Amino acid sequence: MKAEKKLAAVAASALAMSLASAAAHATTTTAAVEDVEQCYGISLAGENDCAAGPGTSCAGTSTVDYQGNAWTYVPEGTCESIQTPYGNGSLTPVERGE
Amino acid sequence: MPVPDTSSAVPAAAAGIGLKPDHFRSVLEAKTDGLWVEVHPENYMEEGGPRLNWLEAIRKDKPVSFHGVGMSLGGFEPLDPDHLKRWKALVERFEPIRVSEHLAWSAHAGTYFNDLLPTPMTQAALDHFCAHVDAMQSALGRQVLVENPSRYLPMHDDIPEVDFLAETVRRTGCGLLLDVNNVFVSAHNLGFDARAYLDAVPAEAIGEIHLAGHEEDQALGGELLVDTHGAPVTGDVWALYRYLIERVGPRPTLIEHDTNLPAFEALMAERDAAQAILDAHRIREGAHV
Amino acid sequence: MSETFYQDWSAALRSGDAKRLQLYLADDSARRRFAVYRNNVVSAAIEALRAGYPVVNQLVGDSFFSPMAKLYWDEHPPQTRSMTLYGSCFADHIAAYGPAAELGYLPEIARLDRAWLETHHAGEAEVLTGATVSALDPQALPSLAPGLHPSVRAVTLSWPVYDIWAAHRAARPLGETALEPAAQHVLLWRHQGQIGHAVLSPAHHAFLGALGAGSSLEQAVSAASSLGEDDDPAGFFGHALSHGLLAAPALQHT
Repeated sequence: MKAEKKLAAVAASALAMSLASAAAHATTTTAAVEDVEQCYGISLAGENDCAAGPGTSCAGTSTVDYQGNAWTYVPEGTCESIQTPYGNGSLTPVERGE
Repeated sequence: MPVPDTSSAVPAAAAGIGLKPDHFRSVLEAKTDGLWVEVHPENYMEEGGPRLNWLEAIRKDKPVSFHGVGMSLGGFEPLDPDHLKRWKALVERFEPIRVSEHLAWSAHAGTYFNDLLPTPMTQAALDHFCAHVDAMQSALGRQVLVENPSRYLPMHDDIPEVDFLAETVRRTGCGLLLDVNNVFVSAHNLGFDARAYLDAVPAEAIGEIHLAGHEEDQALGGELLVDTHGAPVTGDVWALYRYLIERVGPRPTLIEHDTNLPAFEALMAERDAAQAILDAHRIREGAHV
Repeated sequence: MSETFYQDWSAALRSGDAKRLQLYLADDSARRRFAVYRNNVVSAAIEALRAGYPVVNQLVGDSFFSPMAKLYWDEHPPQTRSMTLYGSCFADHIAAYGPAAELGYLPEIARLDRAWLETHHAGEAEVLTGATVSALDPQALPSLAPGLHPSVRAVTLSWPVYDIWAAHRAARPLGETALEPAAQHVLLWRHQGQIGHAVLSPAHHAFLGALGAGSSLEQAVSAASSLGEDDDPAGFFGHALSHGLLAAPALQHT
């Protein structure tokens, strides 16, 4: 019992030391950044990302049905280069009524 | 004989642009005198992240104006308390120079349609609308400017839109955001006279003006103009803008461009054209003093 | 004022059928013009989803994405006034969407697109740094329970699509790729305004998962070690500190 406790204490101490050592070697990756970035957390490297994601505007579209003829149930993007055991999805059109 | 002080004869008014993430850097670095920008607060209602940080950086030396699209002031239901709370938090954080919304509705019974839908122009709707404008002004603790929307459908209006807005101003003390392109588009689509509309607007209430591009509908052609914000401001709308400035004097003016976003320089060229009209009027009026 | 007007308009906007609106419209031109509003509403939702799920869109193309997104809007119209985070259930929607049945990995791509969006817009928090930790008594570290930064997302996928997704994100060309179902753990985080992402080993995933659930470092190390892999659980702590994955405020509670 006593020995087990002692062993556990040694293990805990070892863990404490390895955690402390990991912390000591942790380097926060602060590359050379311009002042504006440091002040505002703006990453110039990632600035194109800011345009990403949905937004709102008050612009109108047209009376032409968004469905038009341009809708398809057969994928036609880059998935054509991906092969899975179940096919690549670009070969068999799926019949589907709307 | 003292030279008339043209700078104070008529208050200066500056032209601004709608701020899009694509132009964050260009706007941050722009040195143009008086340049201000406008955003839809709905696009900044996230918890954190770079978009908010950019706005924080830009507003340090450029005034920012808030232009809401989702309050549904022209709707049936009371204003959404969550949405008001988010609005207020953004107003407190960014201290916009102006805040505005639309004479339109966009939500009903828990569904948000994300479009500026037409409010019936009736006495009952007017009462409702004024109560909503009051509620927004009370919640934010400041005056709201209300914008005339683009309209596409002839409906059974009891009250002309411009009178509806003028009465709202009278009852609530709100201001107006006059979208000259929307006046042009609605006048064309509904068959009224755009200049007569501008003549009827209470001049002192106009706190901001919008200019944008419209396009003919892809299917209906010239029968229907659509407020796409995807093209340069047309000559007709520039003429209407000059006419308005002649009548009411210079007011802060925004170039809105949401789709087919042009390069920053092209957008600024349109903005500079509006500024030139504002400056020309100010100098001319100043010379009369 | 009558609510009927708004109910009728809402129904017409949802269905596209403007018959009931005749009552409110002054002439016959109005019914075909109503399509502008209907299109504004539907295309705003479709474009919001396209913007939020860019890699899904690239994989299947605009013309396949649009009807899939339209059906999502039919079933889950937006309920908040900000569209920024619209589409939270889109991955599950894709999994149930018949025409995408052969693209079993597509919902997993959607999960990564979604995690990226959430990471991008997540709240701010003070980050726990190596320097802060080094100032603490080492003996206190095992019981320390630093939570994860709000931007951290650890996603478990049922197809290993990370390389495909990352290539699209970076606009790198995608060569012929073979793919089979298998579990994969992916980490996304935001640090100093940039979004990082990486594949995690199961032990590393268990370590961060435990911290995310409020466990102490000792418990997290134990969760990682129990997977019996040849990993260095203490090293996960160093990695987390270096990349800003841990939130500082939790320190105050120890």
